[in-house]
Amino acid sequence: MNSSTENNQSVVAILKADNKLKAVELLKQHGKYKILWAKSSQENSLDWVAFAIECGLKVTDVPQEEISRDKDVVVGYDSAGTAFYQVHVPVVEEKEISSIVQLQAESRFPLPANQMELAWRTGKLSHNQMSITIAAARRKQIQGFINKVNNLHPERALLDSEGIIKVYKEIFSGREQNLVIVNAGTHKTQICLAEKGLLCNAVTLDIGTVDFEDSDSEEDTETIERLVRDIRSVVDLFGLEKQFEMPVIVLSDGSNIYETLSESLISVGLNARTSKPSLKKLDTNDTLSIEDIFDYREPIGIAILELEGKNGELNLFSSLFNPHGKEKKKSWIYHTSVTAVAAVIMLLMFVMVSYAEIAAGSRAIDKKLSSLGSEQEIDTLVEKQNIIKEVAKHRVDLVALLNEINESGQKSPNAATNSGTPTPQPPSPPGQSGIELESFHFKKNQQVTITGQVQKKEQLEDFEKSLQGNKDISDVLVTAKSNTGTNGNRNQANNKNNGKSPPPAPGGDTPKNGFTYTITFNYKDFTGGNRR
Amino acid sequence: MLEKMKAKDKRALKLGAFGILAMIAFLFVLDTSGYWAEAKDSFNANNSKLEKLAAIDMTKAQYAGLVSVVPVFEMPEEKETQKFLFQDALNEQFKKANVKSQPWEDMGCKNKLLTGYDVLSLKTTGKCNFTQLLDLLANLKTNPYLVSVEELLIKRDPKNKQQVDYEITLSTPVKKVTKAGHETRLRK
Repeated sequence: MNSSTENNQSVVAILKADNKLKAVELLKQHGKYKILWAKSSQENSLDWVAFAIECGLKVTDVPQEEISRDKDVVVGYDSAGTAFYQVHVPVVEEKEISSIVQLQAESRFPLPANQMELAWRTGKLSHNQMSITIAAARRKQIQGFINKVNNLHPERALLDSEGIIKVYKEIFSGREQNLVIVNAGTHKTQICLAEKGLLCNAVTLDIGTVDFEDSDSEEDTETIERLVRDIRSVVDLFGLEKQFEMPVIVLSDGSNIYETLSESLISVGLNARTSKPSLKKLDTNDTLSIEDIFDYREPIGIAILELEGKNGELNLFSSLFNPHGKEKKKSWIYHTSVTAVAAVIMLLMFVMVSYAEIAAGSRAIDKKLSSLGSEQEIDTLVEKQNIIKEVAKHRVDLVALLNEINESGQKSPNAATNSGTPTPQPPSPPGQSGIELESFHFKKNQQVTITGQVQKKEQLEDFEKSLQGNKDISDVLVTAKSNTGTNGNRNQANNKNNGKSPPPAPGGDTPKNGFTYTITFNYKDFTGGNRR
Repeated sequence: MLEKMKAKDKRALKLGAFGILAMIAFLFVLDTSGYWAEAKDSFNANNSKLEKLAAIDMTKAQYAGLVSVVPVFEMPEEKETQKFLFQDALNEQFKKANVKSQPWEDMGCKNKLLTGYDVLSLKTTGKCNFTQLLDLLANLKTNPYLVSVEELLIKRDPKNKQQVDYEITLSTPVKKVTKAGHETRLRK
């Protein structure tokens, strides 16, 4: 992780080596590496979670992106189960390499593609050819490893063989770029081929220092000879052009066993030598000895790789492992802090805008309502309006009523046949139609009564019908009396008018052979007694 | 929980806390300056006014209808004042219509118009031309003290058919006098 470099953020590296889990916390300060602590589990005690807890790391089931800590964790994967192959292909574009690698892997490795995890790295160019280092491992094996380390929430998983090459370069002060490194552990020996300082191939042999630590023992001597033969075979397998010139570096803590191994390798024609850790790049305050540093060389190697950041390491874990959300990192906009700050800003703006809106709105309403007057004036206005509404309900338009009576008289079909009896001025009682009005009486809550004379009974009937056809007039009752003495009362119903009735028209003024009539009716709801 | 947080999250929380404190301070300043109390009083007063105005809210058509029936109106006074004003206005109108009438007869307050307001009726009789009477009736609504015509009796003069005898009772609203009103007036 680039941010780890020189920013006082340390890296904890854990891996399995020599049948133990080993961990170191490494910090880079002022160009030097400082080992803050180193720890290993008991032999054959290989519970990653328990060991991580022992190392003081937070081990949780929460999603990786929610984990927050001030140190990165990196885990090392044992390369023993990983096959390497180097192919040379014509120079092609980066995007085409993937398909080439897939084809090469399927043809060269004994597993179907869906059961393999692949990683590759392009190497040197020569004669228009490009070398590609392919690493392949069983997917099931990688998944098993990921399951073991997932709760540690590591930043990355790295091949331990890459760590070996890195630690040789940084701590063992190796200068060679192209070399073979022999990393003899207690139970196994790794032979790593590096070109231009990068891992190209690695083979693990099941012989370790415990198998040949007693140089006086015949059996151990045989073992070391076998190991040397195997190493020679591996170097042959690497297919190096000038294999006898290629430096073969045996990592050593200075003990004789590694010297013996180196000498044995020389004896088979290899350009071998031992290399010890150097303190030049380590903080001098370190309390760890050379032996301790040697013992923790693998975790130190991957810790340095992590401190230096991604540099094209072979990543067999990319499709199954998404450490710390690196590849699928959420957009910054989803970050809690951004959300919180945005929420606070919005809240502040809301309060301020609300205040401004309320203040402005209140002032505008105040201004408008003030123009209407004081509350007392508004009370008066409202009261006046209510009285006006009530007065309107009570107010009767008698001119309209007289007009309606007049119009009803004029609408009578027989009206045209009347004689020219003198009539009042328009809107007069219906005298013009031969229907003379003698009196008109209106009183609230009583029926309207009109009296008068007609010459013909048909005229009266027409007048009655016309009144009945008026929407404002109802309950029309007509009482008629012949002026010749015959009772012309047409109505069976009693006259409901219990008030003051106008007297019948004076007899002296009644036309001969005519009728005197009295009509009562209700006008709108003023006279029916149903309103007041 | 705080231990699990990244520095960024902690900083965000601090910013959030600062924002909240700023809001509280802002509201506190507004509160102490009396703005909220003032705004609340103003709001209540305005709300009360608006509620009252809403009670008399009407459409343009409704208003036009109301004005056509009651074109002018004066707020009622107490009985004697109102009676005087009403009679005075009526006399003017009768005179203008050239309708002769007898002195007004006080028929008393028989009905109630609204809470706090009664209806006083005045009656008169006379003789006039029918057209003049119609003119008078048509112009009565311009009397700002009138409620309505309570009763109208028209009888044609048998000797002169252009002439009619009439009896008319007209009403006006009067403000009821409460005890408190008297007391107030006495104190004044």
